[in-house]
Amino acid sequence: MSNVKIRIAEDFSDAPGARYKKDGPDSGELFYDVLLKEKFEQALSEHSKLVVDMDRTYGYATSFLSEAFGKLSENYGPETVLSVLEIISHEDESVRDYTLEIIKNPNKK
Amino acid sequence: MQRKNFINRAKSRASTPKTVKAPSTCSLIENPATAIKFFTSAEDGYRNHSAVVYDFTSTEEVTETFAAALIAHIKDRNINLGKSSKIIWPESQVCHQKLRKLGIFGKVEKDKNEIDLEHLQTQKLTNSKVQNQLAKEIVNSSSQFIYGETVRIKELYSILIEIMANTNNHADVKNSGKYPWWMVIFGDSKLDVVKFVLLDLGVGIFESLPVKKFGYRIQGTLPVLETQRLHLGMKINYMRANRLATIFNALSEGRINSSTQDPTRGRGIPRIVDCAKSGHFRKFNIITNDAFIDVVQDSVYAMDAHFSGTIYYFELKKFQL
Repeated sequence: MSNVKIRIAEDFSDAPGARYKKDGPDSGELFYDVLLKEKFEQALSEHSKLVVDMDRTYGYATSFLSEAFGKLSENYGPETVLSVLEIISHEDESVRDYTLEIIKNPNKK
Repeated sequence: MQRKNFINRAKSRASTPKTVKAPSTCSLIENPATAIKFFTSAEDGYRNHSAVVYDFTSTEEVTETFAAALIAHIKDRNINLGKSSKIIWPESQVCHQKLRKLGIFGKVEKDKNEIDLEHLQTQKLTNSKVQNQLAKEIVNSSSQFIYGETVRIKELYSILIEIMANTNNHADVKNSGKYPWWMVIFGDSKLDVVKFVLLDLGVGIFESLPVKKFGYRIQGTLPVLETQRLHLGMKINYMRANRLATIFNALSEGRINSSTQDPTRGRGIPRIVDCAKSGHFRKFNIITNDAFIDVVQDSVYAMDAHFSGTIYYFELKKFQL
């Protein structure tokens, strides 16, 4: 079974925005609604991994990450998310660390 | 009788312009307290008089930070209440020419939202929400200026988005989105840096509710130091500076949540501080309320002037990639 993949720069935006749709384009809320949730559920149903490649973007706001991955963790539980999700962030390891921290502590991001 | 005189005086003020005299050195970084008092006086003029006359007769030096704030005051109806602004030019021809080059008067006359001037790389003003494509364009043009090629400087992009988002999710929840942010960018080929001035015309970091609450909690826990001295033209109050530094450190470490009371917030300032110290920035200053913060040098000063809002000033430099 092959992994489900999201390459944020190519599949969503190379310039991610802030938290909510009302904040402006390409928000964390939009990313969750149109891509992350669907791909996560696909990975769950296929018993595969969801690999999220965060490289090749211009960078991330903390609000984007906390909205998208925090919501995922709140809705599916940290343990389930951590067992399914694989984060790739070679260009900026702090982004990976921060995202994992959010998933582990969705209410303390 | 007294009441009648008061009303007459108020009417008289309202029908006449207020002249605000600019200092010799107009800089929010080198001379912050004086510059803030100048703009506070102008704001009073817009509120209580028919117009404001900016008198630069004795001015010898005007920096980009000051120019950015001046543009915002002249252009922003939230500040000028739709009243007019006039300029008295400096007697110094050098300063006169520099003011022209900074584009302040072109900006006022042309009334456009974006202008490109001869030695300036980019200059933008906006009152919109978080603009990711604008931030991307700025990273591209800034890196082109510094490196001669387009480089994804993630630290710069993150700072721009965090500041925009922080302004948008305003400290004063009721006024969220009401206050615009202003951004002015200057390419300095002599120093080989790109200078950024971002103005958040909200309540300011230390006046936001959660920060105020944190301030109340730590009251009495700090040592009392009464000594004062001068620094950057500011009379430094060590007791206040110590208090501001304690609060800012807590903010930088993510120990103060945002005004929404949502525990998932409050990570914007820590991210800004981390990026500011990444090595990409020659200077990174935050002026907010009565605080002057040098983020790169880890210093916090208390000014004897109060700015209702936040000014971010930073210089992007060449960095070993």
